[in-house]
Amino acid sequence: MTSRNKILLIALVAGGLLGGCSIKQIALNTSVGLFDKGTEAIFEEKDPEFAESSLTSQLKLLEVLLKNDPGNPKLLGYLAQGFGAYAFLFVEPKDPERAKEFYERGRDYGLQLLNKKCKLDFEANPDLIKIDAALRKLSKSDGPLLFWTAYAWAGLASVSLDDPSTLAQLPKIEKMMIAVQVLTPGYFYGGPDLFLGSYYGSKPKIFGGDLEKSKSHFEKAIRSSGSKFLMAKVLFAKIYAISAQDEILYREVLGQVIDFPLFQFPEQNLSNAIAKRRAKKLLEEIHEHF
Amino acid sequence: MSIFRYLLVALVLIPQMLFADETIIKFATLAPEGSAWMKVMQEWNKKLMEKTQNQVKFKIYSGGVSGDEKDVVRKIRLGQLHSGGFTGVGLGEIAPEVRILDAPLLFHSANEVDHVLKSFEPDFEAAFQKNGYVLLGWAEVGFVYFFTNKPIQNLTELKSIKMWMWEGDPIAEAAFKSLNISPIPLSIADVMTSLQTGLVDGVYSSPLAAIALQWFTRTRHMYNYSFANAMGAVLVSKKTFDKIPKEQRDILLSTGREYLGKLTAESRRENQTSIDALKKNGVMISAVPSKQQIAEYESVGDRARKALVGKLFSQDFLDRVEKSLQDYRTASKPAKK
Repeated sequence: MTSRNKILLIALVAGGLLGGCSIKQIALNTSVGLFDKGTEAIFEEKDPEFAESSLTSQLKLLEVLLKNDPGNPKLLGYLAQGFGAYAFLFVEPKDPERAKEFYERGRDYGLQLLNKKCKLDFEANPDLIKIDAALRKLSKSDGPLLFWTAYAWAGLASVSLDDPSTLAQLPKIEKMMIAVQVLTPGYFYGGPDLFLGSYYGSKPKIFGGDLEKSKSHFEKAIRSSGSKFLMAKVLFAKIYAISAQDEILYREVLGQVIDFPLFQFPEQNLSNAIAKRRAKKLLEEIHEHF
Repeated sequence: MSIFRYLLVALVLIPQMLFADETIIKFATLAPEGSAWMKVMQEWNKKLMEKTQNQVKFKIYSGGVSGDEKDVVRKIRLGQLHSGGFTGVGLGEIAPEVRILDAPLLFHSANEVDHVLKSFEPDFEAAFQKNGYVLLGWAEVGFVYFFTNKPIQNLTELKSIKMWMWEGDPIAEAAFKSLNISPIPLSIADVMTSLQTGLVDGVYSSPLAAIALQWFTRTRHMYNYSFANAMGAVLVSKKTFDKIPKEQRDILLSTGREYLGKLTAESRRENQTSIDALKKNGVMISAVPSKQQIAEYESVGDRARKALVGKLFSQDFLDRVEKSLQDYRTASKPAKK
């Protein structure tokens, strides 16, 4: 656990021991406020191993804080984002089965708040018309929460393709991502476009796949960050280029990722450093795909 | 020749000798990465490589990157691919008589399917071989049901549905004709849009496919009676198969049967859990039809199968399969006290 996290815990425990509700609340509010910058610090970290250990302790601390302040919207938002990103960046590549647990936790924290805001249980309700109506109740400020909830849910679906009950939730996730696009276009470096590009690109045509749509969403996502958010390019190669069997594009895009100097986009050092590793691996296994 | 030259020659030749017989089987499937299909294929490939000391392996093109089943058949013919995972569409292109397994109302249970596959294995293998393919194993899609946007209780109500039919599928054509239904023929890729626009309001598929294709979002009722079982298989071109040394061919066949057997078991389980998932997602499952209705459907099945004689399979083959099933049913019935 980092020293900052220890201080926060001590503050919390002290709050609890003193039994003073106001002291505890002050400590909590201070702690939650710190995470605005904490998320930035994690994304800016260049060393993935260091970031991984920091993120795990930060996520646990967030859960501790939530226990002390159940339903805190900021904490629920951080947890939805944190668990989804943690599963995607660190767990899924090594152990997709284990990633399910973290994606699910991220989704459930997000849904806890979203269900309350929309007065609808998104997971239990199968009616897509009601889902649409509920999503229309959200405002621009809800865009990030909706995105990270759908992101974790999509992650869960992507590692559960052999589970019909998770597969059956995909139409809802698609609706949520389309709603994010309307509320906050281009959010998180074109995150919704990245999802839709992956979604239409990874399905065969008979299952509703559409390579043209996929390409257009990926290109839009890449443009959103001025080609600096490298994970968009990695997914473009891994999903679109393989599905289209375009080996030249695959090599070209992954080459661009490897050649990109990290200092040009410090706010996404972590994701870009991981994207570079993935690009290298994908190039090494090129013969398996073409 | 100096010792160095011998060494040089040896260094050049040894790797060639080691890898001279290596066979890479280019295999294509519509199943996406991460699906049960792909998980089993990857496990099978691992076992195959292990047992043949890397001399035989699959190179897998998943998620339909090689096109639909008809494209895969064409690419195998051209030698660009060697093997594929097929359902009725592909199997019909390769060996039409095998489609007897998809015939309307032929089977009452998965056990009956297993019985026919086992009893007629030589017939099916010969049908594939005659057309230049070798069967590596069956991979069942599952029992097919009607999914509609209004509840169905009987044949009259079924006839009132604007029913989709897979364009160019002789089995579906014969079944609908016998049911006195005029379906709307469309390619599978156009079904979702047609459900959305109301061009069709009924489809048929396995429960898992209804979820994977997202048709269940537009068809809120499932008629609880299956009109057919959909078969699938993994085939390899005979040309590729014959190039593999005998010992490794045997490994390919035995591991194929083992792993595709696992896949069929998994597929049956997934179809069952899909029905639960459909219920959870608001799909209403109808009551099971009455004995009288079932008898009516059975006679529809008899007529449909007869209509397919000469088009897909011979009268003799149909008679033998039906007789075998009849015997199996009689033998399976508990003895009366």
